[in-house]
Amino acid sequence: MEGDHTKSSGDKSVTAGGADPCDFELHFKSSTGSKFSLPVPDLEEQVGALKSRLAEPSGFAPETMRVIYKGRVLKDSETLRDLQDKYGLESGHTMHLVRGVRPGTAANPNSGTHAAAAPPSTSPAASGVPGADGVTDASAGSVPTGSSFAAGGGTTQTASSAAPPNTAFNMFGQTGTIGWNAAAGTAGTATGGAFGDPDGAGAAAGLNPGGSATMQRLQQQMQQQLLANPGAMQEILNSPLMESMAENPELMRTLMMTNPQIREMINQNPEVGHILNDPAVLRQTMQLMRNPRLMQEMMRTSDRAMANIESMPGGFDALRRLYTDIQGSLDPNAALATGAAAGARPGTPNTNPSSETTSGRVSEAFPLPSTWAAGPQTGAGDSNQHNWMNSELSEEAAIRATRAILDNPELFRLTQEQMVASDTFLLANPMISAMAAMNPQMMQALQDIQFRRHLFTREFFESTLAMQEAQLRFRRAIHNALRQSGL
Amino acid sequence: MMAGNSSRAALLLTRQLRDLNKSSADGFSAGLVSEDDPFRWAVTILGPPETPFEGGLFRAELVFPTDYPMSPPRMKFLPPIPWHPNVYRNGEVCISILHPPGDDPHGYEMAGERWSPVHTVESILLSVISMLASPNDESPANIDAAKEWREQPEAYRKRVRIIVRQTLEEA
Repeated sequence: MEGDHTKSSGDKSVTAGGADPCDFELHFKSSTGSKFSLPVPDLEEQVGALKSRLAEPSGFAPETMRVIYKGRVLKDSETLRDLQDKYGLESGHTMHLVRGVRPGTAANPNSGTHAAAAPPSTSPAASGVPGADGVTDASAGSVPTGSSFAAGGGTTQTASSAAPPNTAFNMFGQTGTIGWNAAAGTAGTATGGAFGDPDGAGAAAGLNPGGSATMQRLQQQMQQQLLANPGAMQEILNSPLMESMAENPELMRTLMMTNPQIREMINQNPEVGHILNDPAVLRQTMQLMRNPRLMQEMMRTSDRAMANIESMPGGFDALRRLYTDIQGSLDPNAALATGAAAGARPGTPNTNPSSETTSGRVSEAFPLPSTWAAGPQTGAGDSNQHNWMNSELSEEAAIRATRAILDNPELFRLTQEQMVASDTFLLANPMISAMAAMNPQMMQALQDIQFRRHLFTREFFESTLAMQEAQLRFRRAIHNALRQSGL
Repeated sequence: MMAGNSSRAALLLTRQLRDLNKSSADGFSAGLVSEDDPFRWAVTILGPPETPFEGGLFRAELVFPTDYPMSPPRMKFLPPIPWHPNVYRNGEVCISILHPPGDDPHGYEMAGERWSPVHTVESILLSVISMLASPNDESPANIDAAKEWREQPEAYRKRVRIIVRQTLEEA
């Protein structure tokens, strides 16, 4: 052992090293139980680069991946050569892979409450330090509200819950729900926590600022539906699955962290991260969202809320700072695209802070209903048509959300985990529960975690999705035929 | 005599480490704190699946006596320390197989459950992993954790989950 070690360090200076690089191979054991091997062509490779190569076989995102070797968690900057010198790394050795959390998302159990509870302006910290100032933080939550109060997930929920009547395999709609719901819940937290009152709470933060055009369209559709069908939201929020989501801040946080802009925002403003991390605030927000009337009102009044803040003494300053501190770090296009108060503000981070002309500007420039402009139009249609459109849209939305989950290995894994862990999830689906009621064996199987573990494979999800898509096409065809034949 | 014992122990530990790195046991990873001292090991225990510790990366140090394997090593978790009935608040692990056979300060353990030279680092760490999964609250090292584990399992679980997250941030 000792001899080996000396030999390899000695070889270092002789260029290629003792082992033939072509033969150098490492084995990996992932915490999910999978095992695989990777060749190491270059010992100068850093652990960070290795992680990127490991992302695909492991299914863990490089940022969250932890590589453990000889009892140590490896640092991204270490090279394999370092490991050879320090710990005697040899070809054929095994490393462990674990999914951690993203850097900078501290899980301080106390800080969240503190940040959420602190009324604006009580913080003694010096202002101007991003994240350290109470005012800035408090309004920090509110900016995303104004900018795209899309309630990312909140509305996805609606989407899927509107579907049950005509979706045989609605299970999928609900799957989509998981991801974005949670995200919305968490994002909303920032807002709720900061304002502490429903008016200010607005809707959830802009979860997908400009991320993808598809998601934006999706969000828009979902917003419309939420307004058209407030009860649906409540249904979903009351489901056992959501209950368990609310109890799982870790999952929510991870979901949030899959959004690069939010991640960035939290990195730059740790205090915001704390708000988002506080399970109590999370729950509070969920509760708020359970009341559909309140929720609807909140969403409608979010622009107004922004205007109100502005008219308060010092309010605009708070907003401005918040904008420069937080929104400024987000993609400016995103803010514009989603188009409510903060985004509409022409002031970019270098706006003159003392400008007085902006008082009331939000409400002038963007009258209240602006964000919902599309809503009433949809609602105005023939009511049958409207319903059909709704379910159609919601199904599409659910399908897309599911796709998004399938495309994101980490999100998928979390979703899968959640579904496996919940013995009531499948039963929430009317069709499944009817089947189970008639078939005790199936009922029993559904309650068995092993069964669920085997059931919820990627293949299963994909085939279900395919089925749902086919069904949608099928119904569309019928609908078109009906219309063309004038029936 | 002492030197002989010590080098035998060093040899044994070095061999055990090499074997571990070849086969790589599930659930933990082990190396030396410093390459020139085989008596101090750095280990990372992966929180066992389907327990509240799942997903955590618990770092610990094992310190072996020079007369190993006649006497057991001591094991101490490094912060963030697992919240667990059998782990002292300072991280010291209280598990029967790490107690010398003659010495039973708690009077609870059968001689057969205590240290014996047949134990290896692997068997020790596997025992610790199984301890994480199923605490023994007969002789708790952390009385509050034991009480909570018994009486408020949900609160216990939540507290453990917070620590799990912390272990991932330290990394």
